[in-house]
Amino acid sequence: MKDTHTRLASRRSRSFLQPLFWLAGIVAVALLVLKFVFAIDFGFFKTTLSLRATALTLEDIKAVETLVTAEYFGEVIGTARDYIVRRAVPDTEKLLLRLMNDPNPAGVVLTPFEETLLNGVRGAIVRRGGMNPRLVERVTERTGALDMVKPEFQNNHLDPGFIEALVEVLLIKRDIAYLARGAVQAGYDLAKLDETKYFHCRQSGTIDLQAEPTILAKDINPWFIYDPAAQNYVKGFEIIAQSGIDLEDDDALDFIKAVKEECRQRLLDDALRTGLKERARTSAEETLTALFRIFDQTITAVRLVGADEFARHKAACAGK
Amino acid sequence: MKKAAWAILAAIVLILAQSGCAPADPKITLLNRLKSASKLAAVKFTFNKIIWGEKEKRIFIKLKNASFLATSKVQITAGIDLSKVKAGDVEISRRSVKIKLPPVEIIAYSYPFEKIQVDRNYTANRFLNPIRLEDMEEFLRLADADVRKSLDGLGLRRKAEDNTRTLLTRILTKFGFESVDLDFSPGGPLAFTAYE
Repeated sequence: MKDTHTRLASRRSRSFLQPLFWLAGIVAVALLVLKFVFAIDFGFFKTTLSLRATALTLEDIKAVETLVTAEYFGEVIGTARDYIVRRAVPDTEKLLLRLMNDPNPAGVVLTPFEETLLNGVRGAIVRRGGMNPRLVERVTERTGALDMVKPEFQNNHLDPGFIEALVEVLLIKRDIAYLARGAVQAGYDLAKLDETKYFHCRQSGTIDLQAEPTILAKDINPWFIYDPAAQNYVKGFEIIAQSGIDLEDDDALDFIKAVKEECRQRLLDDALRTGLKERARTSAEETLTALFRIFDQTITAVRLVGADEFARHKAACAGK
Repeated sequence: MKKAAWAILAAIVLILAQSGCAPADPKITLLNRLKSASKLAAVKFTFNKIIWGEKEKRIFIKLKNASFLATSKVQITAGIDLSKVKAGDVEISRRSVKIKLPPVEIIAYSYPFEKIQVDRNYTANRFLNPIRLEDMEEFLRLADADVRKSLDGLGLRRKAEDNTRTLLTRILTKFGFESVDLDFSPGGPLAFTAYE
């Protein structure tokens, strides 16, 4: 009788609690859906990044005399693979050469980045040689690794097949791709223009300046555009994809900087391919002609030329 | 039923047509282009900025804050835009010249990533609250925004005007002018808009 009472009481409490469990479950699912599907924030899961106020301290003021005459604004993709193929492989070759030429390669102190490259070489040896415990044991020692990579390292260059394996090994550890936006400025450093590089041909009214356009700036900043007034914000660096990036790794920051440098190099390549320097020259000629004509109406043109052309124009003017 | 289906189809077509005719995003036209310029840079400032960030995370309860500390450098180049000097701004009488110059502006702004040094001793992950790469990038953006907001209060204008005056006076005396009088037009707050 007593058992029946207990069973009944338990069944009653279960039937009383069951709707509550259901309700809690529905609420939890609804919250998760609202949070992750509709991105509505309830403050239960919240991440806030903030900066403490710090001052800007002046380090240096430098007088410059540059004339920016062309700008390129571009967007590029920079990946770890590009960086590894373009920079890390030659760096590995230099490192191997240095270690092989050292009488005591085991005693050479390596930077964390160099250590990563050497580990990449070890990984590539194992990848090509198969997962053999004796091979792994031998390759772990620096001298053993150097001995084993020697056949793959002829004329100070790694074998293309080995390079492929090395790239794959380095990418297994970590990978990243950035979308980057920045600007390249080209123009002339007026401080380099002296009397000997200036020639005014009175007969033709031309001024020749011996100067070559140079790259004055190539910047990819955290923000490409930051304009609160117009509500226009465009990031400089945007992460497209990443894997295995742990900021606590000793060489993680160097790796990130190297990939960013790759982005900057690509931006510069694009700018040069588009004709930035040529535009800088023509634009400077137009600007200087217009400016000089304000002060001297007899001037017909200002030409920015290389050393050979400068000498030729000077001789031609003297011959007139 | 058929009418309803036609109405839905028409609505979809309208929506697609509208998205097809959307005005071009100004950001698209901004990139991958070459532009002529004529900016005379006269001074370059280098500033140091400490980036001290905190990451607050809440998973029902507030977790311990993770911290980020780094030092960085900002390089700002200032000068004038020569294309804004018009013939009417120049008065020449014999061996003296008077020019009304456009206001000083920021010609180049650089927050170089290679000069950002993260302090590993004070950059600390916490349980369930690590500093990830995307957090670091966001801290850098916050710092960049902070610098840009304070550009007008750094006293760049006076120094840039002085240097521009010195440079132009030197150039103009080479043209044979004995007296050079340079005046700057009043400008708005200094901001970096050169790339926009």
